[in-house]
Amino acid sequence: MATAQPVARKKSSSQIPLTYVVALVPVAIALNIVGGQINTALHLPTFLDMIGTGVVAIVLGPWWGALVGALTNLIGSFISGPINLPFAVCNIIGALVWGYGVRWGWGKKYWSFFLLNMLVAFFVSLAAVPIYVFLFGGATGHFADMMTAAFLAMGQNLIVSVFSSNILVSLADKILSGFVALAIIEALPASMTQGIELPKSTGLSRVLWIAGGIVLGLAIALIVTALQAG
Amino acid sequence: MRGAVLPISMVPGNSVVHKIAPLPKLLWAVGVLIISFSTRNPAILGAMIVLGLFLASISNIWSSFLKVMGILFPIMVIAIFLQSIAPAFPQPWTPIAQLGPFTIYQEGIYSGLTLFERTFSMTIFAMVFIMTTHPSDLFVSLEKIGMPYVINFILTVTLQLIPILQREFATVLSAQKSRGMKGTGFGAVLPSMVPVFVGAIERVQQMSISLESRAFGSTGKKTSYRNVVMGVKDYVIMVVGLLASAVTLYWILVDKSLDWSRTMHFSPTLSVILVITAALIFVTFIVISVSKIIKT
Repeated sequence: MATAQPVARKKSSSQIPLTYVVALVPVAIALNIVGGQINTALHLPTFLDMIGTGVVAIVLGPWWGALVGALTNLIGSFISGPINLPFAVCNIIGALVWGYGVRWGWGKKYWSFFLLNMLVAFFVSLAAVPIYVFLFGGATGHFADMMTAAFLAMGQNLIVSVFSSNILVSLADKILSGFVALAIIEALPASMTQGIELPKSTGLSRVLWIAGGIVLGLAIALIVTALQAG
Repeated sequence: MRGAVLPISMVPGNSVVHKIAPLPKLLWAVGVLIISFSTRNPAILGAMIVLGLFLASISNIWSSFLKVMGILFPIMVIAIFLQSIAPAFPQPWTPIAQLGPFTIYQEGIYSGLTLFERTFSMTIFAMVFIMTTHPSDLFVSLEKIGMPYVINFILTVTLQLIPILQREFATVLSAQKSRGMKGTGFGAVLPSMVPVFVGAIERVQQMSISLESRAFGSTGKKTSYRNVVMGVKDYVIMVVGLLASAVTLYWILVDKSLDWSRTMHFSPTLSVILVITAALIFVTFIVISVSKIIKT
């Protein structure tokens, strides 16, 4: 006798009530903005303005994440000036890579989630460099400007210098943001996260050490390359 | 936390600019933003800066305006330093002076100055708009021209949540410090994000139930506590802004002689003074950043 087998339903954001989505999105945007403000206040060499984007992109889907990204920079431009506005593109791209990456299975294992965050950093940097160089002349007052000047002094051109400094900051930022988002998602109600396969969140200190190691290794590689090319 | 937040918020007042409805002001700010990103002509950008400063002065927002500019100005100046030694311009570049190991290029000075003007002009207009407009009035106006209610609601709730999250972060960081844990740096900031977000999620659940009970998703006209009425004066300002932006944009796109990058010349002395000043500001910025990082 054939028995009906339970079929695992694919998770979609449409299963979550609109009122919940409408209430979650502002929290994510506010977290992005406040995260960025704390980062500026403490002069941390990161951005910390995409944690909310990551949470929403993974839980609700890439396009809700993109909305969070776009609105973060729109509202951010009202709070900290219009320099933020063009960087909405980076926030949107980050949301799409996180959202689709997790849905395509890149978030199942610890190492693949780590790689996904590095991929986010790479695509976000690719989008950020033209904005930095052609709209703001390579500087927006971030800690990375110091590294840009250092790479310029080594004889690199502006585009390569901005990319080199931005990818270093972005790697550290997106790895940390991705794992903080993971810890937040674990703390969300089970009804919101069922069907999403993610690795178990580990202590953030371990992530900090690994991210620091990767950034340091890449920094050394970039400096050696710059010195050889210069 | 307080030091982190630029003091950009509405400055209550009764000036001519305060009395203009939000939409015409938004249109002017967007127009300036588009023109700023479309041209590198120093005269056009300079004219917008002068107009912006004039609007700031008649709005009586100088005190708050100067505080914000005091923070943003050094950031904008960094572009002059970076551009002067590595212009974001197609080669060949014309060297005009030597400053230690760095060669200063004609195109770099032009590029740095115009990028500085670009950021300055759009920031001034954005500041005037934000400091003379009540956020709720802006959202009511946007809804009237077809902005979806859901987006409008998200924007309003976000603006209300930001100070709440700031307070909660400060509380969590203080609690960590009082228990002998780290109060600054990654070790303190990253773990504090989880309880703050989870606390906010609890608020979200309550808000979600509240929205359901008030039939949030229902169709029909939504009402607002605040009401914005556009007068004839507002429509005139809006049309003038639209025409001025469109004509200037058309002029920029058609008239190739507005590119002065190869024709405008800077004396070596002026260039060196400019770059040294920008470099000093840049170094000060680096020293402050590094000292803060070392402290954390």
